Amino acid sequence: MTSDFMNRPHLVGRYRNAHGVEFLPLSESEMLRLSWFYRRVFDTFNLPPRCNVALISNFEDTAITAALERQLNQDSHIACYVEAVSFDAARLVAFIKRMPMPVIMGVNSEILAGLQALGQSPAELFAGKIVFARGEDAYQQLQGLADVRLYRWMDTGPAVTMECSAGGGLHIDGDEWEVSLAGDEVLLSSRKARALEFCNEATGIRASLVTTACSCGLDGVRILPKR
Amino acid sequence: MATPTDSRAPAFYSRLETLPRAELEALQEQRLLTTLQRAWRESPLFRTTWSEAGLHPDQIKNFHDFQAKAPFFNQDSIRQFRDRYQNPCGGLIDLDNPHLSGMATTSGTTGDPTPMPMRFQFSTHETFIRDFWHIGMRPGDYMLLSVFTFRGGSSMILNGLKEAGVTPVYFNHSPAEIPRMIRALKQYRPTVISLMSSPLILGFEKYFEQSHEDPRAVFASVKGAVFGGEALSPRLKKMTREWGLELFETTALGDVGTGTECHRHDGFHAHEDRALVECLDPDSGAPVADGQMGELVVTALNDPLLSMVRFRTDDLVTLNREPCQCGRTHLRYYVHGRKGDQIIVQGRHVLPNDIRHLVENHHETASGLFQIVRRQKEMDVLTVRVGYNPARLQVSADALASRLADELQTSLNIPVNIELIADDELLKLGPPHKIPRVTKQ
Repeated sequence: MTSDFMNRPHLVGRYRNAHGVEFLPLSESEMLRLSWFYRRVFDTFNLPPRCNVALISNFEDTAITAALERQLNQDSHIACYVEAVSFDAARLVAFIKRMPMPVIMGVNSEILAGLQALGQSPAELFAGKIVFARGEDAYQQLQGLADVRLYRWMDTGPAVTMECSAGGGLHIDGDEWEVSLAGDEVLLSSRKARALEFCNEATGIRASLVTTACSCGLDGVRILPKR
Repeated sequence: MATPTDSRAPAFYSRLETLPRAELEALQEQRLLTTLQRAWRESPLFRTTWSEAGLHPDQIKNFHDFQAKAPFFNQDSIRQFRDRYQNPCGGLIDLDNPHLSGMATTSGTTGDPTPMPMRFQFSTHETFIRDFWHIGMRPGDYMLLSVFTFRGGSSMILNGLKEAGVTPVYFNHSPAEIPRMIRALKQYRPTVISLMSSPLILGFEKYFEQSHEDPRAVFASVKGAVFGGEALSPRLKKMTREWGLELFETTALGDVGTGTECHRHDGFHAHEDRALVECLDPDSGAPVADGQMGELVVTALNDPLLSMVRFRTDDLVTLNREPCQCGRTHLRYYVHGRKGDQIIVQGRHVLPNDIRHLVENHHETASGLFQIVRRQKEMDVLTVRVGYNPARLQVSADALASRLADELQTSLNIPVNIELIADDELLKLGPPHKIPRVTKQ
């Protein structure tokens, strides 16, 4: 197998930067590396096998979710799919009420609006669950719910970032990305061969960087978004 | 790198898709008997349904036994089993089945969403690849992929495309994505688009009107686009042909797969090595002859998670088992509507397809957006909510409504009441790819 094949785009998704939305070609080897990143972060949660995981997303976010689906499959978890739009909040409710659902990934502000329209309380619906919020606005809305283990999961420019079980900032694959700040905007540069390489890509994400070691044992810098 | 040629067609294409009918039916029978044993072993719904009918797979020796004895089921059976036995998979399999890796659900258009358990390498995707191949997709190509929803995840179709050596460019299915789709069409030169829908085509029409870009240049690389969601209207077909874009209609084959047109555009090609297809009288359940309209009933033949055995689809179809001029021998089917969409007005049966071309013929309502308002099963007056483009209105709305009512009344020979609503407002009443053609409100 040639390196050409491994680095040929396996899919073309999208990413957001400071200027708008751009195409994001991803090679098979990038997908593989991203699934390893997901595995390392998921391992910190010590989930039992065969968990049902509600996966809330959109089709255009495949560059973010495809590697996650692969990793969930490899760890024998079951992905239960919900569209990240307000009218699909009912589907999420139906899943949660009909089957054990310890992990919910991708709760965004649209889903929260949909739950509100249905008269569903996130505090009751998500009680006892691990919830990953997509977007800082959704995270802030859910913050403070007593019995919810709340974490962040988001795309930061072309990179996927995600909090571990210790919380306190988004992990990023430090072997894949070099992270810096311009003022308080996160800049990313790629460190390995990619279908599309990046040099100081302005992500439009305002954040501070946490450089102290994480208690989960994962190495590297963490990103703490600002509102 | 070798140049992709037709000789690199997937092995499953040329051999299986052109099998002589006798060999195809022998393969179906063998797969059917295996399916029944597996379903008995792994599907609580199947075991319950067959036990209640006093039947065991061992009693089925061939297709004739199956057709004479096997009970039916439908979406309601799955939902009822799910609720009665607290089985999230609706009894199609158990939640702890090791093959299970994902849980999709149907749209819920006809009620409560129905669970559809999936495995990571989903069997149905081989059939998608066959359809794309017939349209002209080849290894090394890009395709523009804009599936209607994330309800089935995104990586399962990706696995099929990866096997085919094709790179998908992903989009949400929304007219708001059209400027980015245009960029992708210019940058990646995809050979296939999947899927197109009426709202998306209307969005492209608006884009081309405003931008004055040449549609033929934009779609120059595209060998075909798969069109779904509802039947393709004559106006949209004509318009896209003028853009140089050939549309291939696709539709569901129950919930066990899809059927898609070939270049002959003469019916939806079923994949009979994957699905056993029957066409039955909706009331008696007796087989109807090829060419006669009946209800489509399907059995999944090669999917260990989808124990759909004699699944009643509610679709009214006719079948054609004559080999297609494209070379394939599997049957084709023609969809006439959904059983549940039939309206009875003063004793006359009306389907949405009877109305659409009448609405599209008018300049103000050329988008073909309409809904039949069915407040009760049988009615004295047909009420149709019709979308119109306010920018094209050259007479009063009342005059337009009166003109439409006159034409529908004359054509259908029943009383018609028209409710006008702006296109944009009507589109908000449904998901991005279609509006419900029959509504209670």
